[in-house]
Amino acid sequence: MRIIKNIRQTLELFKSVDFEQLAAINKKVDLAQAMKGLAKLDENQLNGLMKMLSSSGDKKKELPEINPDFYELSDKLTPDQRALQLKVRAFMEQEVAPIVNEYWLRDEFPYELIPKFGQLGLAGVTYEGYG
Amino acid sequence: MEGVLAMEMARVDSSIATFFGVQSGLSMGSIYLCGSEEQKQEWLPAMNKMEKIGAFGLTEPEVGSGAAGGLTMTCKKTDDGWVLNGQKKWIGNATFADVTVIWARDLADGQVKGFLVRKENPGFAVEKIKGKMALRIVQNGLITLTNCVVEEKDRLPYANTFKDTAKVLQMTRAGVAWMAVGCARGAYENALAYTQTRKQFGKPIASFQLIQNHLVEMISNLTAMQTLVYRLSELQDAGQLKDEHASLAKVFCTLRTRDIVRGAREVMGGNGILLDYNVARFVADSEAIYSYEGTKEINTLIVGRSITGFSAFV
Repeated sequence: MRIIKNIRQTLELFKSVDFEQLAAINKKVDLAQAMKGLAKLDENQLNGLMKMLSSSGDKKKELPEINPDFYELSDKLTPDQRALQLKVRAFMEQEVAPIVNEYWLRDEFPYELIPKFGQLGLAGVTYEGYG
Repeated sequence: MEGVLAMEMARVDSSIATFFGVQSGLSMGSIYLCGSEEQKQEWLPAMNKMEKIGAFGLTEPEVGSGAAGGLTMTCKKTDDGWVLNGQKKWIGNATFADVTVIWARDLADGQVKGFLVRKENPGFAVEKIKGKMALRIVQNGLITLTNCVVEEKDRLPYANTFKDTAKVLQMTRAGVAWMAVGCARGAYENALAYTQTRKQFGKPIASFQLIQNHLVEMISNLTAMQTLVYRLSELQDAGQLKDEHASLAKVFCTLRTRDIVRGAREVMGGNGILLDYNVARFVADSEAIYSYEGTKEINTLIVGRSITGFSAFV
């Protein structure tokens, strides 16, 4: 009885196996060796392995947005201040970031940035009456 | 608000943030706090648009931290105005500035006075300081004034002792704390993005416990710094900012920034020392931010004096 049960279980197992896929894998790794290794793993290790296998694959993991303002302190700014912050950020990312390493290396100042930088009207913005 | 602007600039580049700090904080700030109405009208609107560029000359070849007591640049009243003599070192923007605020000791009363020295003045000469390992985009100059004649109308009328200079420094020191936050923030963002894409052993290195430990240390310090400078600015806006408040923030933030940029460099491995990956520049620049506008030591003594009641200045 026991032998018949084992054979039945093995048959069920074979039904679920894609032999073409198995052959393809066998070209890359020694499956017989892998089976021996698998048999030696304990339950925890097998669970870990299954978790790893099911999490990999085509689906790209959605990563959280990089947020260096962990406590959301920019919420404390008024809408106008926040808008100005983002304006400066855009200028720095679009105009400065692409050229900055080159100028740093050459020990030179990017004078051509000054007119555009000046147009933002940022210098002394908090000095009342002279902006 | 100017703090947030400094942070946003330093997040991409500390040199540009420094250029702006010299223009907006030190130079325009000196004119705004110590200048006459005519001087403000002449300079501030044009400097706001950066049609005119300013520099700020306080530090000297032999006088750095000791500026409060020992300026060697002298000024002397004459019938035509004033005559200035001496040298200023490390002066940011000085090689191309239209006007440099010069601080000099009056031979008559021994007090520090401020002057607006125009670049076309024949007594004004400047030499670019080369070979820096940090803030390489900032053009620092060695200024030499030789019998430099300045008219009375170009003397800052409300700068009569070093205490008036210190008012400008207190304001800009708060800005440097914000700049340090920006520098740290930029390094952290670069490093985090790198660890999410860089793979070793078949996995992004951000998935490793040892890397996450670095990243969490960085965001912890960064969050503490940010929270601190927001409160600093609240005090400033309420007119309650004291020297020791600004000094504590400057010391704390520039120290933590050094840790954060080093952590960022570390998680990026060999690429962390390559200029193309940005963080190498942040590591170098953080050294200058740590020491300029009041070294850690001087700012520590300002805080120490306030909490103990004993002045430990020599």
